[in-house]
Amino acid sequence: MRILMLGWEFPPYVSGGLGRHCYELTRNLAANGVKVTFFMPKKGAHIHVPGVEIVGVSPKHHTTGRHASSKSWDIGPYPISPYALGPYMYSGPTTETHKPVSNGSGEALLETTENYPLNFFEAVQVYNKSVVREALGKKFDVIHAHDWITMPAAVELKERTGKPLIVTVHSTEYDRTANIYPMEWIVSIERKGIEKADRVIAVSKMTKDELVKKYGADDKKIRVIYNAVNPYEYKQPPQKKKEKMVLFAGRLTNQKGPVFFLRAAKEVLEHEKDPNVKFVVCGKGDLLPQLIEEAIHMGLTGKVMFTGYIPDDDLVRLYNMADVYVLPSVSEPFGITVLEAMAARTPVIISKTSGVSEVIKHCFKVDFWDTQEMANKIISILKHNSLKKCMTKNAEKEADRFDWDNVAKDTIKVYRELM
Amino acid sequence: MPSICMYFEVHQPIRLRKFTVFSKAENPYYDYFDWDKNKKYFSRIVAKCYAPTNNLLLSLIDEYNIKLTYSMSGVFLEQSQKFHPEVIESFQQLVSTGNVELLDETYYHSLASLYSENEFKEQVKSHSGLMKDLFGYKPRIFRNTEALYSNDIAKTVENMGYKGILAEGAEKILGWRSPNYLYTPPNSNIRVLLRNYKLSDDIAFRFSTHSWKEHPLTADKYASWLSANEGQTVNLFMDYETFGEHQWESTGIFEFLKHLPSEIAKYDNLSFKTASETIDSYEPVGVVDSPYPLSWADVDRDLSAWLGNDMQRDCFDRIKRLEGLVKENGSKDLTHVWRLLQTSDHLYYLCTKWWADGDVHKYFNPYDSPYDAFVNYANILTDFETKLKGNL
Repeated sequence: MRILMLGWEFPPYVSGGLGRHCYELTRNLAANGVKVTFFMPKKGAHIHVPGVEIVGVSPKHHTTGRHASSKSWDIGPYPISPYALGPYMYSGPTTETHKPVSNGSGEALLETTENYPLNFFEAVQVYNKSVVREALGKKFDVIHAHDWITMPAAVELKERTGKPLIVTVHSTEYDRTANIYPMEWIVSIERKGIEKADRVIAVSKMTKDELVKKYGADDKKIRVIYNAVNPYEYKQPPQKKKEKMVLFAGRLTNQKGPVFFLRAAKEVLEHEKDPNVKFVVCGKGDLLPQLIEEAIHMGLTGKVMFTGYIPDDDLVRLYNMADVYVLPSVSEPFGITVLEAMAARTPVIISKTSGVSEVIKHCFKVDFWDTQEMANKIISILKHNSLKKCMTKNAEKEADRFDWDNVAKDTIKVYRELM
Repeated sequence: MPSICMYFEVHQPIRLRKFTVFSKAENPYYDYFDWDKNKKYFSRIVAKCYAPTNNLLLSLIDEYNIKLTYSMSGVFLEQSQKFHPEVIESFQQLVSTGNVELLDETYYHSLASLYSENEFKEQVKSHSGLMKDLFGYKPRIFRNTEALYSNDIAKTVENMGYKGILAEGAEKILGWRSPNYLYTPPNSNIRVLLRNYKLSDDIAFRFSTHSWKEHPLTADKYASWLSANEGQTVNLFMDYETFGEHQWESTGIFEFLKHLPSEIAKYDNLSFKTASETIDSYEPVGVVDSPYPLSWADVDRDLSAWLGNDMQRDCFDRIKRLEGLVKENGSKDLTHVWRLLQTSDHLYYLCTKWWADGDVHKYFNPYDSPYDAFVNYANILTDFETKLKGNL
């Protein structure tokens, strides 16, 4: 079984849900005897995954834009992420400098660069063309694409080779924009990819339902495969500390609901007379300046900390230091960070509009907008050791059940359906 | 020639109101308990279970002279009085047939027997007072909350003047022996009636289980099983809500119950006895030793359904610790509230064993999760403690 897989990110550079999923999936597919050729937009990829052929695609030779000859035109490991598209993030060259950035879970974000020659739409087109060109020389039985950014290439490859196509949807444009100004051109790429795919893998039932409802997908060809976690990577010995800590980690975008985290923080701090607690907002994104301002307006100065980008190792430390992990997402297709926090023995409060809430029980589930209820649960966890002990004991075991090897095996089942 | 002792536990908890860390009670009795919700649940279960089952059993007593044994928690009767007094009348009718025996239990359906002999006795006294007031009845036999039983509890209950006590027929105390006989504890002379859990749960739990190889269970098949039993008595103890609530009408449970007496009547060796008739008819055959508390809950048959995790033990300890403050306050109303908060269901909702696996406890839980249940209960306990301290 030979799989041609088209991706966008891969750890260690980037690892949002998609990047982590692709890395673990290819690794575990290889361990299950599947030959994977993985394409990603990076010149001379030097990431090594045993048993996986990684092809870093350089679009250099094939560019059509005005600045095709520009030296800096190199998608490279960092610059573009399909997740960081604020309305003004790729509208054209800006004066910001281009540097690798990442959110709390280490995910790279698009930052425009002074010399950045092409708009984002063109960049995607170029990437896809390059992928098609190089992939046609490979041998494979199934094409497997992840999210919209690789779908045009995947569809074209299907049409030219007649091989079956699988598309995994880690998030939709509606999720990423929290339904605020979804980009029609991205939605149409997604719609076409989902329509042309022989099988669609959704990371939750919530995503599956959305694909049926908003994209008119045929629900008979959708399979739900949940994400997983390597629990041992998140465990550290308990440490003594003077102060309690409540953690948010994720891109600072409307999708992730960081503003609801701040509002909950305000409710907690107003209620507790002597609050010995700090709120940590970990991650980066276009809402950062706005959130900082909001925190000041709410009078949270000194009680809320913004870490900006932090490397994965530090995030693991934060999970372990935290007394509560909150995922207040407006629309979260899955939510791997929840499993990570659970593995680190931290109690979690999660939004009901998250895929992970379909499959875990040892947690609190709240509406993302109900910040008073969020505060009620935060205070209760901070106050009652018995609650914390009981929940984390069970949640740690629960997280163990989400195994990447099972994800790979379930994915192989989907491959088999098409062969 | 075993006789059949059918016993029903009738109980409805008084459920709590949604109470957050931001909530404050003006009047604990009204603000801690969700009276609208309780009325809604109670009305539903009257329609589904109490009304049809009482009517059916009244007619069966009339036709087949069957004998039945009940105990009703005080919190059930308190809600009946409030919401559906006709349910009490219907039970009074049952008692007036002379074929129905009533047992005592703790008024509050609490775990008081586990922590304070004094408190336990007071709650039992409240219950027997209610039996006298509502039914003109003085119970001779005792059934503790969730059939909690130990040597110590048996001794205490005997000292209070009871002649018999109900318990779970668990292997832990029986070993190879049959539950179909009377036993005594090692330290006293009270008669112990042991639940035949296999035959009881065939009705209470397995009746509608399609994967059970005996499904569907018919009255004639069940009567033949009863008849095949050796011993003095087959003790069928179960929640009264089995009929119409745990097993819905659509499962055929009422048809089963309706035909059971006539099917049993076909066997010469079978007859019905109340719990008192049972202990008066037979001599105990041996001793059961239960140094640790037993219950009739799930497969563990111990305390773990109420005190199995840290949250449950935490809340239970807090309730216990309030005893002093409550006594110091001396307020009748606040004492009543404190005791209503002791109803075992409040702790049961915090149970995490098997919860993630889905069913096992086929039991109505008004909370999204045991953790939500804990937060609500703990918030009320915190508010109540503040109130008690403020009142001093």
